[in-house]
Amino acid sequence: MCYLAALSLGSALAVNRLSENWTSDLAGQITVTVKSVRGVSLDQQMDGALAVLETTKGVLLARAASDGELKALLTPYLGNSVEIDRLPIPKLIFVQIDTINKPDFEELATRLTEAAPGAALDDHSRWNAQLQSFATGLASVGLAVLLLTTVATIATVIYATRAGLLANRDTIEVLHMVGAQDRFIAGEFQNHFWSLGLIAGCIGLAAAAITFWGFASLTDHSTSLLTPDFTPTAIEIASLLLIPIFASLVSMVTARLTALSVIGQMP
Amino acid sequence: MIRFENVGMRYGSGPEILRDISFHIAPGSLHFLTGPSGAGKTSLLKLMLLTHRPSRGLISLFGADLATTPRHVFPEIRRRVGVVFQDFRLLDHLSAYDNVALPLRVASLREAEYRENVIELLTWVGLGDRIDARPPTLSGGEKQRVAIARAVVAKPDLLLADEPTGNVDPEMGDRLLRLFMELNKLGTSVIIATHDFAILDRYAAPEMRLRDGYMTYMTTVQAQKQRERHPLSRKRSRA
Ligand SMILES: Nc1ncnc2c1ncn2[C@@H]1O[C@H](COP(=O)(O)OP(=O)(O)OP(=O)(O)O)[C@@H](O)[C@H]1O
Ligand SMILES: [Mg+2]
Repeated sequence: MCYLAALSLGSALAVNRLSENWTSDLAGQITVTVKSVRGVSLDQQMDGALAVLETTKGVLLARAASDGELKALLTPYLGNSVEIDRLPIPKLIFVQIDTINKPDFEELATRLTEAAPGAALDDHSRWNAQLQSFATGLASVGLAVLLLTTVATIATVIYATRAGLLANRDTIEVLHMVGAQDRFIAGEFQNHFWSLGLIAGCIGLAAAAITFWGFASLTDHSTSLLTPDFTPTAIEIASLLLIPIFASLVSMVTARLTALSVIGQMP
Repeated sequence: MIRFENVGMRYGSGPEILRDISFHIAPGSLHFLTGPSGAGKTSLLKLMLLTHRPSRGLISLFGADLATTPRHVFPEIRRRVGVVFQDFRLLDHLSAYDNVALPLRVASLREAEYRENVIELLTWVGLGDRIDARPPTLSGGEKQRVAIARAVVAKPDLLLADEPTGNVDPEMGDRLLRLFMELNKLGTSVIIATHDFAILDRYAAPEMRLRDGYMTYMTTVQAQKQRERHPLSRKRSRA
């Protein structure tokens, strides 16, 4: 149970971090496409667009894609033998923007079309939004699993406490008869389940740590952008360490409440 | 201190095994509870221990009417009652020492306060060298003595003893009864359920005799006369 909880929390955190990486990567990059328009030469448009970009606040760098780069982008679609100059393909400008002081995209877009009628701004926001919701979806699946395991833990502890209480009926009767309060008896069960929860939590966490370590060594993060980085940050380690404590708290409170309600029905 | 008025009791939906039971027990008194096997002695003690509810009538313990006493007050009442069960009811996973200390522990006393007391008491009942033994390794008589030590350790206001000398030799029986009498002299009300005529003859005390679900209350003198008339017979005339 704790293993599952640690696993799902860990994955949720990893996916969350991944989506942050994606979005910040993409948010730092925009492209300007310049199509040929009748009456204005492509080079003229490019110069105009670059001039606009260079004078825009929040733009760190604007660079026209070289023919080589364009070719590299297109070869997967068109094959190797194409001569770029002959094709009426648009030109590209790669723009690096300041992610903290972003430029005003709408204003930038109007100024670009004024300077170069064939220019269009692509700030990746659509692609970005899709990735984001995909990642959020993954992360919420992880959290849902976490929630389910919590519920399952509670159910198990309730069942175990009830069974324990019924098996110890005679003991409880004796404790009652020597004047023990329900609180006292429930306390004994509560302590038992507290330590049980703590032990189970630690074992589960250790198992999950091994699993993540296995994932991390299987997937080389540097070559694959789509697999999350399973190496956790300090805060994530801290929240994972909370799992055993959370598990034992849940077990303890559940055991106490169950015990009190069961004992309350005994004479 | 204890008052029963027209109390009836049944198990589940079975027949009434106690009917119209009325008596009063004063603080510091000594009573015997007698009657043939199955007459309801243990059941009567269960009523005083609050483990069973009467099917009718009124029970008041230490001035509290049980019908209107909320459940959370029960532990407080039970701590004033010491009980020796006919079947001992020791906790098998605890040592003799821990069994005897149990009433003190549940009353949140610190071990330092009672440790010597408990050991002294166990020594007194002849179990000084069996302090760490668990009940399953004790003989019937030894278990009975642990049960008695547990019942008296908290110096209760009321002591209920169900056949407390049934499993020990007469000499040890004597010793245990002296413990009860000692406690009685200090102000504890003692009720002893027994079949043992030797005990009844030795200690002059009123006798509550159960038969067919009804109780006959006999003063010390009445009880003695009764016994003189039928010195060897266990058969009692219906009063
Ligand atoms: N838990 C129970 N459920 C149903 N009937 C019971 C229960 N305990 C006792 N009885 C019945 O109640 C009656 C009185 O039993 P009780 O144990 O009070 O007798 P007793 O006087 O203590 O007998 P003894 O001298 O043998 O100990 C008996 O007929 C017994 O069968
Ligand atoms: Mg009995």
